[in-house]
Amino acid sequence: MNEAAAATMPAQAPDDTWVPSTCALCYGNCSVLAHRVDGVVVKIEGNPESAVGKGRLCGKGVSGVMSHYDPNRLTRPLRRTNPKKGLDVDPGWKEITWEEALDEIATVLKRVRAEDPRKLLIQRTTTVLACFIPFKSFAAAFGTPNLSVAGALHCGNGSHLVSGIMHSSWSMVPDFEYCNYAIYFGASKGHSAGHAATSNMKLAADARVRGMKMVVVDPMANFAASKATEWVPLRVGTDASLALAMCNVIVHELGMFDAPYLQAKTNAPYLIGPDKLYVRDPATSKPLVWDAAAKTARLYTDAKPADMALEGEFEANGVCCQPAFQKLKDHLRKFTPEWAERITTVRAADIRRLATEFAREARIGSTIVVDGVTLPYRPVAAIAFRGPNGHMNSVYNFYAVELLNELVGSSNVVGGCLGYNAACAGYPGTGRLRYVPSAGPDGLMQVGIWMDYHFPYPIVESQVPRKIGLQDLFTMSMSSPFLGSDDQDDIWRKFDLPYRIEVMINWGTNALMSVSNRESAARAIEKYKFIVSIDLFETETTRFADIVLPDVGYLQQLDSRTSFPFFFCSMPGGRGDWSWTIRQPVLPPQGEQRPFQDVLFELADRLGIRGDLNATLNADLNLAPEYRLQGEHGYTWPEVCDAELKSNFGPEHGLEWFKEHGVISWPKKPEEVYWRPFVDARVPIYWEFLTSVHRNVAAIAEPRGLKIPREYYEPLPDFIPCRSHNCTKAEFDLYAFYYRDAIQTNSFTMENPWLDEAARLDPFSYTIAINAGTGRKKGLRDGQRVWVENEKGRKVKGRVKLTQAIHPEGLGIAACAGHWGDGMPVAKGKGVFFNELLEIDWEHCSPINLSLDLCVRVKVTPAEERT
Amino acid sequence: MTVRWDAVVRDNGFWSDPARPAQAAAVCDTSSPQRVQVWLFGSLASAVEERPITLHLESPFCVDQVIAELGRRYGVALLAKITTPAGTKARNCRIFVNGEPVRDTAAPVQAATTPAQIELVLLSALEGG
Repeated sequence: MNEAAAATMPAQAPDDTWVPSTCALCYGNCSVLAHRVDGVVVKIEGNPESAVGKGRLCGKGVSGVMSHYDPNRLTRPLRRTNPKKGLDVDPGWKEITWEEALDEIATVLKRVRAEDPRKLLIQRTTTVLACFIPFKSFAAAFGTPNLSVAGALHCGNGSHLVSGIMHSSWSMVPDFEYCNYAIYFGASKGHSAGHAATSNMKLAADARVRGMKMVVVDPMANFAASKATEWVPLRVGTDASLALAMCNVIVHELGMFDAPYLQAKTNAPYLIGPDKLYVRDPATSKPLVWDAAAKTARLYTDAKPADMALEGEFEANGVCCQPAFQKLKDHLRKFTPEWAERITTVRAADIRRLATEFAREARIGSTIVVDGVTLPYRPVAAIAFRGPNGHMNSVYNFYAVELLNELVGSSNVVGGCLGYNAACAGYPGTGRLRYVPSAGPDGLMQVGIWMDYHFPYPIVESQVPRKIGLQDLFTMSMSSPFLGSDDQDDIWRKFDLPYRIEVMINWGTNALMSVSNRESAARAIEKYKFIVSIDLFETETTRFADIVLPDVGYLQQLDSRTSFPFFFCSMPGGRGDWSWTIRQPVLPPQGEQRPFQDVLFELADRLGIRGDLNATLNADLNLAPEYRLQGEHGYTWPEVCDAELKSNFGPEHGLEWFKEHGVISWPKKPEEVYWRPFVDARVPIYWEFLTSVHRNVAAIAEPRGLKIPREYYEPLPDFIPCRSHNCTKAEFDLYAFYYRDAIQTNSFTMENPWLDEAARLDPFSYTIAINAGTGRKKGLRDGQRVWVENEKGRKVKGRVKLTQAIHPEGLGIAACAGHWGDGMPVAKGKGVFFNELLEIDWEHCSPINLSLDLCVRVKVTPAEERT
Repeated sequence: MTVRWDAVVRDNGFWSDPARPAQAAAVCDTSSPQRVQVWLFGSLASAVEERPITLHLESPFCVDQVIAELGRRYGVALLAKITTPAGTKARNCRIFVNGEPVRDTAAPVQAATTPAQIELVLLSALEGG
């Protein structure tokens, strides 16, 4: 009997217990209390003892019990009997024993590891973060660099990169407690799922009640815009234009910028030469600034910030040069509101008004006292997230939006735009978990902590790629399209990639639905010789597996870190508490389900790599010397969790303590929340490093026939149209996009019957939103079935929902719906599968960070009604 | 009036005092060669037959010298995994001396035990979402 089963056996006493744990219906990881009565979970609520959710839980969270008790859950290991794989091919599953399954998997993995360990790809879902460390450590122990987060390509190649460079964090959020004016670009923080979802909901609601003005720039007025003071509809994918025009107004028409901030905390004073690079001191190679007091060029480390010139033209090292801010100012001149109106469709007068409101409310130069500490006060924030990310120009989209914060000095100060928890002074009892941003090369900020060792800055030097995703060439990317792109073989041949993926271990991803059109995804996955899928359900992707292993769900799972790293997805920004939370089994496995961690440990033993796995876990968990895993000892997963918890919180706070309490909390200090003034590091308002990044990438790629367009690598942001903006076919007159539905998470929750019921009641969840005026012009009516077709003839069908809440040129589809497999019968046939419209190849991804273009020009035609 | 950031907030030392010292001082001051055991894990391990590898280095020595010696013995293929094209330690290569993470590879290695136990682990470098 395993530990969870023992813990939950009714024995003789009646079982009526509230168990503290962590939700996993989205990656927000809210703290929950699960009410178990006689071995059955009857209710799930938020845990008020934790800063993660603060006692709140969303509709997905409370419905988690229905996912758990879904009779379609996998409960036995399965072996494919049909060697043929493909869309709509029956795998011919046969039940096998765990011993048979593990034997076969270990035999295959041993062979592959002996040949070339890079032939193994491990792919995991982004929904449940529990898998992050165990799979990462297993991959490193095995020796493969090929890890993938399937749907992540839609998420963070732009947003996380720019948030990392400018905020030392995974994402950004208004300081709701003090912010007076927040402008959202394609973001829904505080109004939907994901990052600190339920915590932010209260913070945002309180802020609105307090009077915070919230402006939402978005092609669709859904979760955030419906609560906003003002909705600004814009043409899909043109966020950078609007933000740059607002910057133009702030700098050129209002002349309102925070000069002392720019001097002290950015590279605005660094001198730029005619080659677009810093003018450097020949002896130290440090960038020079113009010291207006001394009337000479000096090292940026030597001049007083107040003396650093921001504007003008100077001569240094024998070349004519200008401060980076002068370059920015000149660059912004062309982005007039009138220019932006033509691109975004937002009226020039409105752009001027928004810029003026933002700059005036910034209260440049003001201070405030928080908990006895005097701090800069800039109660405005410009944030961006998923919307601007889904385009080829995602880097510039985010960079342009971020310039709004930088110009007025509202970055990581009171009331401003906060990176989520970028600095933590550590747990007071042990001093561990301490991290803080610092000055890196050229004095520019580098993160204090990151999800991996591929920090956003300094940019890693490009190499001839040896990863199938090419992230070692395109080092400003994280997720890659080349795992499923139509041109992957051509790309790999160009770079003489010396191996191909033969084996995939899939954990919980449904890559057939979450990345692009299903034919492309299927073609890519069919090439793998052997697929193991560890999953809860027989998803469309799992149907391609050779062996299926039944996993436990989040109510059966143990994980020692569900809110850490704090800068990531769970912990709200702003003041309050730090909370370290765990997930623990509330219920035993059903049938023969096993925790995936046990499976990985068992495989490590069979492969003879337990010593390697212990070493990589030591490193990934950053265990203190006294708690490190030793040699090749066969630790259990609970023992590893216990080691991590004791390592961070002392011997009295091990797994048993956390099982009882669920969470340990301690208060944040003002210097942690508003760390920016205290950290001597600068952020780039001029991305000089892109010049050399382009040189390095082009030097490797262009001789091999891959042209790297220079315009994506300029030091200052611009508006670069997506392919959809350049479509000239008159009948393709709408921009299709998808949006994250607040009541769904990726493709997974579509199977949940309560959420399905909510979606069926919602007018938008399963329909195609089209502007009412546009629809009427086309002769469309509410509820009519239509085809939506892209330029290549890929098409999806669905029912129209006419609404005023979408841009006249927009076409909005919710979430990742439209399952077709039989393994998730509640989800099957519900909603519209937007990703079917997405092409995936080099032409449709960003040549700087590999963002996939998620906006598609489409035409809409009536479909025959079903009889 | 615009108030200067660098005047409003003087560094109050909040972030200047790490709660835990990064590394204790070097303790090995003998002039005789020191025996070092190097443990390579994951994809680094496949490059060598033995684990641990025993090296003899003049004392005091630093981790950079250990890396250079590994490169000399096992070739550039191993070295390319540990270091960047610029020759510095790759960020995804974690190194531990007697269980303590090494932050400065040029700093003298302390040897609280003899021989010093040095671990090199190559972790995943790129992933996102």
